[in-house]
This record gives sequence, structure tokens and C-alpha cells, in this order.
Amino acid sequence: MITKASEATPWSDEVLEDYCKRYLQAVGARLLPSARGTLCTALPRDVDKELTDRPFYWMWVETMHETPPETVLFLTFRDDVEASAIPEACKIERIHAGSYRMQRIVASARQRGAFAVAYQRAPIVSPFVLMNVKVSYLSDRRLDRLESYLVDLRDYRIYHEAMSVLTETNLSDERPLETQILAVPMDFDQIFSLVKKTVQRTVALDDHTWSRDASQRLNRELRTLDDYYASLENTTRNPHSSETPETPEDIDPVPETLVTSFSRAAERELRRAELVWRGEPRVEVRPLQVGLLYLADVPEMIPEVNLD
Amino acid sequence: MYTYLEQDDLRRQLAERNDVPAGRWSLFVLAYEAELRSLCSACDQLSCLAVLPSLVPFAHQVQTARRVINELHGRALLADEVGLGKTIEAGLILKEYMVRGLVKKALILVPASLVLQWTRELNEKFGISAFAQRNEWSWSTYDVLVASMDTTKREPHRTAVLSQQYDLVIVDEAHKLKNSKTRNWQIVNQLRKKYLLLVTATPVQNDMKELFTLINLLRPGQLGNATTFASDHVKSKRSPKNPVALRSALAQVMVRNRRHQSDVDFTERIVEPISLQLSGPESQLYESVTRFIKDEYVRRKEKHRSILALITLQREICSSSYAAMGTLETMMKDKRLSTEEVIRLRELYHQAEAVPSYTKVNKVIELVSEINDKVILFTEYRATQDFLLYMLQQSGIKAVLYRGGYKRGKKDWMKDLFEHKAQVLIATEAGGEGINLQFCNQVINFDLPWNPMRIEQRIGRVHRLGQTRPVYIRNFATVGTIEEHMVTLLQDKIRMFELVIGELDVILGPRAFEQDLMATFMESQDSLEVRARLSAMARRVTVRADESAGSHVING
Repeated sequence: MITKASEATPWSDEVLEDYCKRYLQAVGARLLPSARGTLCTALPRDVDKELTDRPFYWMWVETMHETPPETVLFLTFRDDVEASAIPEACKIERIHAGSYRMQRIVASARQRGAFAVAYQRAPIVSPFVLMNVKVSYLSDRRLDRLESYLVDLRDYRIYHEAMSVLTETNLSDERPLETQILAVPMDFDQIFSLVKKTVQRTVALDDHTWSRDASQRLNRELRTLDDYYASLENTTRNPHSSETPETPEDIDPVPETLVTSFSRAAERELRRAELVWRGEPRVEVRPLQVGLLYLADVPEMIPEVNLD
Repeated sequence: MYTYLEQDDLRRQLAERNDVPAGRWSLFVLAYEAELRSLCSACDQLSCLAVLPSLVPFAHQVQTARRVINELHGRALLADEVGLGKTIEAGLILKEYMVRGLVKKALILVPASLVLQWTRELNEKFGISAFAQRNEWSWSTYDVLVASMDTTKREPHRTAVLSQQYDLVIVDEAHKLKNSKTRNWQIVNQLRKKYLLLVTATPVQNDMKELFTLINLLRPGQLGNATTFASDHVKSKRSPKNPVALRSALAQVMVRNRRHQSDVDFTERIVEPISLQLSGPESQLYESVTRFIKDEYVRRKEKHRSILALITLQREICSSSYAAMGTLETMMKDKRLSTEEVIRLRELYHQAEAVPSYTKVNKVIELVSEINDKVILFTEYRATQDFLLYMLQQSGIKAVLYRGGYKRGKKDWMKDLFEHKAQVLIATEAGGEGINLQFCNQVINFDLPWNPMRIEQRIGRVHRLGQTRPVYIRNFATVGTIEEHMVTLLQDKIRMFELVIGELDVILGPRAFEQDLMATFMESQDSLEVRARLSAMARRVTVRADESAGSHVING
């Protein structure tokens, strides 16, 4: 299901339904039987709080030690749901990619999924750190990708494109009873520093035509701006000749003090700062997830990063 | 070559402990998948459409949004002709930037009457959590804020808003920024913003300088400075020197779609002049007032005094005696008048008061009953508006008013009432701004503005995207009056109502056009001369409109 970062499948109805089902299972929500293309679920309190925005309600419930009934959601991923399929007293929610409910489910998944600890079922396992990093190329537009790195804590060798392989690997949240863990010291400073350095190198080796184009464009814009202000040097503050007022807005002229307090120099600096803010090429590196994985060995098909 | 930034949030979260919190692997995978689907790719399509399944924009709207983001880098003048859905275009651009993570904080500046409409549309159509500005704290509380331009430019809001910085600022009805000496222009100029969208159907209303002033907010220097712009590009107030060069310079900061070029199917416009014969007393009143105006016109021209009040009075008497009475009363208070003049004005006032029945109003009542459907009645004057409301109600016709000066909630409320309870909406010019009334397809012009652009704005309220029926436009023309000439001029000569003005908006300037018209009416000896002069005016206008593509500079 997971492919390269550049090939993510879009949110179709089937994908949405599968995602929601897996989310609900993962957070411990009870799935009640429901028709094809729909999901009926009873939410545990902590999940309820994340999926609905009603903090005052919960404050009241908890202060009063009330036990309200479980919230039951009925989500549909098709337009043609039969009336008979809808449980009583349940509101139907048609879920699209932009739905408020879906946004909250995704936000909850992102927050809960920032960290993980998982084990491979094998006689002996040792720790690896998996880090997913978002790399963005930005100017007035943006290009993103996700980099996935796996660090073997035995020898601090680093591997990339790990995620797609690891999702196919059978991993469990609890340590299997028969599995032995090889204790290895974990130095997070070193781990982070290694990943950072690797990302830096990867980025440095990338094609940065985008950045050259952005810089050229920015410089051109700054030059146009500077030329414009230079050409005004010898003119008075308000180059526009007075207009005869036409509309009520016009008969609301700016008092001289307001005009002169925002000087031409200040205006130029503001315009320059805006151009730089918008167009300056920059690379943003944001680690998004850290996982501690106990694996038997480096999975096959994950290439090592060559740091030389 | 580029700035390199590393975000340390995750590291800080792990700082205290020396291990990783025990999260579930399945959620880790779900988080990764969600992240994958939210990445910005190199694709230049609009990714926001995937999260807006119930929005089906027109092709020209999608193309405009893509062009602004990919080629114009987020700073543009959206100048589509009336009725093509500029709000949708602006919304698409905002949503796309938000989905791409390039815009978080946005400010939308609109006329007061449109604040609630914009807020609602952004929330409902675009799933954007937008809020209407209410008090001083709004500025720092909400990420996406819709505010009235009038409120924003005054303290304490002005200081509050200038201390913020915005990823995107959208200004609706941006032609109000055409004069850099106004507070409107100053505040937009002083806002700290990354991206800027100026939205208006009429970037040039009177003078090419206005275009320069707007472009100067987007990209100073794009059209040179004021002096070089005038010398390089301006032949006369409304004529460009080098249309090709100007169009090329504008292409980097402006998008303008034309109705006839879009793939939108606009319904027909069916125009009907309603010829009315004034009653005896009404006729006499009209003659008396017009004679008075002609005399005054000559006198004032000699003394170089303003004739604006006379133009107003001449137009008002065509609208209703009630409207004229207001101006007559004001004129009577003028200290510069001689005793004879005051007596004369008083006589006219009494004559106006004494009119027993109103031909135009009776016709409205007759038409409204006949049409038996929703009708919008347009008039220039509030006095006429009040008068019509009273008269309609007396005849048992449910009507509501719409005009400037209403707070924004009230305008929405009036629109709702019109849609669901009343049969007639009586609107003045401010009613021409922004609101969409496509559920109605009947328009009656009780009187006409002398500015063709304003007529187009009126009709644009119903003849726009979403209108499913042909639009019927009835223009009242009282025989033997200026109104008759105006309707002929606009309807037949310039074919104002069938064509959309597009070609004419650079050429016609409302102020000059009005003064030309006044001169024609005042100086002509008889009806024949009036007709001849108006024909000549119309020919000048349409010839220039038909002239080589060069003159269609704004339109390309």
C-alpha cells in the first residue's frame, strides 16, 4: 500500500474507508456491524475528545463525575446508503477527504503516531531507530518529500527508503515472550545528529535549479523595486496629482500626518522585506516521526546511505 | 544558494527522556500515510479540489487560480468581467495556498455589506474556518479573518491590523483603491503581506491613472513610476498610447476573463422599453423644472459655478417628483439666492407636492402584478425608493428595501426576506454591490444612472453564473423627457443592455460622460438636436469600441 513518497494514492472513498477502519481499530474504538461502505463505531472517551471539539462538555462531565453514554459514530463512504442500513438515533456523516471529521481523524493519527515502539518476532532482536523526515523546498511555491531513515544502533550505520519495506514487515506492539533483546546504549544526540547530517548531504547532492530560478526571480524583483524608488528620488512624496473627489471614499482623504509618518524609505523596506519573505529560496527539514524498532537485522532491500 | 532550516520540535519532545514513547506501530503507519498524501508535488494542478468535492468550478476559474499561483506568484489583480465568479477564484487561490501550507494567516477586506456573505462562502464552499471581524481582539484571535474596509481603516483597528503580518490579503471591490490619497489605499499599502489579491470587475473606471495606482500596490515599478507611466502609456485620460506594451506589462500582474471567451453559458437578456405618457400635472412639473434648470445652467456656467446640483435635479425629476422635492428644498436654503429665485423654487416645490397621481408608480404596480414573480426594482434615489415602498405597500405588494448604510447583517436579512417573503426588492446603487440574486430574473429600471457601467452592475446582480432563466429588463422611458433620450441612447445606440460593457470601460468615463450628456440636454434647442448630438456621442463611443484590438488594452 505504501509506495514511494512521490506516488501516494489519492483519497478515494475506498482509501478513506480503509484508513478510518484501521484508525478506529488502532485506537481501541469498538466497531459495530454495519453495511458495506459504512462504519459504525463506539468511541472510548479519549478518542471522543480528539474527534469532536467540545472541551467544555468534557470539563463538565468530569467535574460532575457523570457517566455519559458512549458516542456512536456512523460514517458513510458512499452516496447511496439505504435508509434501512442506518442505525436508529444515529446521524449519518458522509466522509470526504475535506470533511471536518476526517481532518480530526488525521490530526489524531498524526499526533498519536509521532512515536512508536515495535518488535519483530525473532529469537534475538536489537534496537534500530526509524526517523521520517519531511524535506521541503520553498520559495513562493513549494515541493515536499518524505525521507525515511533507519539507524542500526549496533554500529550507527544508516539506511534509507526504509518505510516502504518496514510496512511489509510483521511488527508487533508488545514484546513477543520468546524474544530476547540485545541491550545497546542509545544516544539520541548522536542519532539525531547522524540523521541531520545525512539529510544535509542528500539535499546538497540534489538538483537545485528551483533555487537558482527563485533567486534570479527575487533579484529581478528587488532590482525593479530599487529602480522604481531610485527614480522617485527627486520627486515629492505624493506623485499623484490631486483628484477631484468623486465618491464618498474619495472625500475621506488621508491627513498629511498619516502619509508622511509612513515614509518612502519605510515603504521601500516593507516591499523589499515582503519580496524576500515570499521568494527567498529555503530548504526546511522537519523530523516528523521517531520509531524504536527491535529487529533481527537490517531488512533486505533497504539501501545503505553512502556517506563518503 | 538557499537558506537551510532544521526544525527541532521532535528532538525537544524527546529531550527529557532517553527513550521513545510507546506508541502503536499501526498508528505510526497511519500518520505516515496521511503525511504522504498531504505533500506538495511538482504538479501545477490545484490539489485543493480533491478536498472540495461539492465545489465544481468553471474551467476559467481553475485556470485563473493556477495562473495566479504558478505564473503570477500570488500577487495579482483579478479583473474578470462582472458575473464570472471572481469570489470563487479568490477562494480557490486561498484554499490552494492553505492546503499547500504556504498560507496560514489571511485577511479578506470587503465592503461592509459583504462581510457575512464572504465569511459564509469561505466556510461553506471552501471549508475554510473564516471569521467575521467583530472587535479589537478579532485581529489577533483568528487566522482567517473577513473584515470591512471601512472599519479596518479606522482606529483602534488600524493600529491593531498593522501590527499583524499576513500571508495573504484579499481586497474585494478593489476599485475603491483607485486613489492613493485615500485611507483605503494607505492601509492596504502599509499592511505587511506575502501574497495579495485585488478583486474588481472595473479596474479602470474613469482614468488610466487608476490602473497604475492599483498595480502599484501589487508590484511597484511594474508600470514605471507615475511620471514615466503617463509619458509612456497614456495618450489621453482613457486611451493608452501603446496598448501592446501595456498589455504585456499587465500580463505579469493581472488576469481578466471575458464573458464571451469563457465556457460559461449565459442566458439571454431580453430588453423592453416601457414608454410612458406623463399625466398633465406631471408633464407641467417636468417642463417647469427643466426650464428652471436650463436658466440656472446658463447662469452658473457664466459664473463658473458647479452644475452638479443641476444634473442631480434633472435626473431626479425624471425619477420622481418626491426625489426632486428634496433637492429643491436644499436649493432653497442657499444663501446666495435672490428673492425671485427662492420664490421660483418654492413654486416648483408646491407644484411637485400637488401632483395627484404618479404614472410611473402605477405602471410598476401593474407590471409587478402581471409578472407575478420576483422583481428587482432599481432606482438611483433613496427618496424615490421610500416613495415606491410606500406606494407598493398601499397596493398590497410585499416589498423590501436594499441600500447603502445598512449594517451588514441587515443587508443579508433583506436579501433573505426578498428570497422567501417579499415579491419586490427596491434597490439603490449600493444594492448593486456584490450580492447575488440569481433566483430572480426580472429587472425594472425605474430610472437610469447616466453611467453605463453602473447599469451593467445592476444587471449583473441577476445575469450571472447560476442564473438559469433568461433575464428580462424593462426600462421606463417617459415620453418627451430626457429619460426617453437616455433609454434610446443606451438601448439602441450603444446596445448597452445586450452587450456587456467590457470594450467600453476604458473609454467611457462616468464623470465626463455625464457632463457631455448634460451639455447636450441643456444646450440643444429642440428634440431633434438632442437626438443628433446623442447619436454622435454614441457613434464616437462605439467606433472607439470597435477600433482595432489595440484599444482593448485591459481586455487583451
